[in-house]
Amino acid sequence: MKCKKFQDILLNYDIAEIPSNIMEKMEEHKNECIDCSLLWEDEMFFSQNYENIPEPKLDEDRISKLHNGIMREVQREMIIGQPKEKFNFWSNRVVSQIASVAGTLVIGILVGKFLLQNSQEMNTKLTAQNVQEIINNDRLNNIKIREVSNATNDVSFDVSWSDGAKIEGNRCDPNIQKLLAFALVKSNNPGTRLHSAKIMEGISSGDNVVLDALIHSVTKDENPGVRLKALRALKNYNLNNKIRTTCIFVLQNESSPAIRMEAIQILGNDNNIEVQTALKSVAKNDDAEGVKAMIKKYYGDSGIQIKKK
Amino acid sequence: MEEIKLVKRAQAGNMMAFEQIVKNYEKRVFLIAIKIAKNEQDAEDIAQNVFITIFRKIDSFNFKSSFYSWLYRITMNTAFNHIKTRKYDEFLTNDDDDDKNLTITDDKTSEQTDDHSFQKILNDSLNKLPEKLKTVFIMKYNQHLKIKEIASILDLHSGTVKKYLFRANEKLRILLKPYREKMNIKVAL
Repeated sequence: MKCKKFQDILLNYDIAEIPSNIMEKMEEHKNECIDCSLLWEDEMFFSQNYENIPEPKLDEDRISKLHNGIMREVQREMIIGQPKEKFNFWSNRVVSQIASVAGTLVIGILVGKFLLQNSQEMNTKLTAQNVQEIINNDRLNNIKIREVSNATNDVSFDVSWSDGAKIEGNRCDPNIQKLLAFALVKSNNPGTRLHSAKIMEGISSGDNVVLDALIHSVTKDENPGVRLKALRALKNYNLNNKIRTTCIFVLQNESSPAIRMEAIQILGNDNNIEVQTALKSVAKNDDAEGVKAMIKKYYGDSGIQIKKK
Repeated sequence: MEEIKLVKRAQAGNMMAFEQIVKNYEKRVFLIAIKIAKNEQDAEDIAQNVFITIFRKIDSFNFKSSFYSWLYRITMNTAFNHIKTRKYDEFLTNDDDDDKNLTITDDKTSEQTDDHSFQKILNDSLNKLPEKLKTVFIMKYNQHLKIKEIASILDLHSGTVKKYLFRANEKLRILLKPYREKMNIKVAL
């Protein structure tokens, strides 16, 4: 047996699991190789001594405090996040919105607003009935952003249904923005969600559905890149209560310092009392120096806004 | 069976059932978290995040594994992500800098041996490891997970897990050398 194999077995298996014939070969090797013999001693030592790491004793008060903390956070999650209701909300509301988008898209196609560039067969596929069917079947989950032109703001989507058709439009178009919002919230593909958020960075939609989609992603998306891009997209909007609450939520709950810093930039020099309180707390407790520096830049050391004379 | 019913009720949106799940597992989750985090506050944050994740994702639990296995994976993954993001800059740099923590003089050792149990020395030395190394070490030697399982739970490549384990072993070997020599255990250095 060679050293590499010996070490691989040692690292990958419990000693008790090693078959006897292999163990015999390991024993032989151990007797011949000092390095492997010492590694074996290490493994034995770690296995035996770290099996029972002492656990702290938790009294009832500590467990009760822990329980209350957990339930408080879960309640907060229900209020801010409302995952199940939110999901239903999006399932119903976005689908109904997309239904109207689809109607517009179809009309757009008819008047030449949206161009379908693939085969003639595909043109015949994209009828109101088919688009409605896709939405109802939730198959727009498979929407993909194919191309974006920063010069013209044109976006094209691949929509996976029977023959993989393509929808094209301009990201300044409210209907295209709704499609992007749909992709941002509903796509299972983080790349698609990231792409959607990135495209929305340069636009400000007047539609609450789009704003809600961005807020949903900032507070709920599992992918930090998507959360960051969605938050950046919120920069284009005038600061309102929804965005303010979202930024406070980010300051208090977001694990990524970069995203917390982005939230501080959005809040700018906002003098809202809740913002001031949140920033003061972050200035005092945040681990990240960059976050503290950002607060200092906008609000001074304490998190309290510096009033201009 | 009771647990399956409880989870199904929670999946149906019953908050009392969800709270019962929290009660059943909060202590276990906290104790796992405290092994990995360096303080109780971080462990509490991890526990809270674990149950928020459970709350968000309980619909997706499909009963193919035991509920505890599912919860355990979420706990370890949450703990690992927590320590990765908690002190981001420190995390990026502590691999190289951490060796400065690995100096225990022989004199100090003998004092410590007088004052502390050997178990405490083992625990203290474990706490001197960078948290990512500590996490994989605990998963391997305390919770007896295989390399592939650790890699899957932490979403790392198996080779990365092996690298972390190798480095953890190396650092612990240095830290524990004086004690092991006292105990007459051969040390690979």
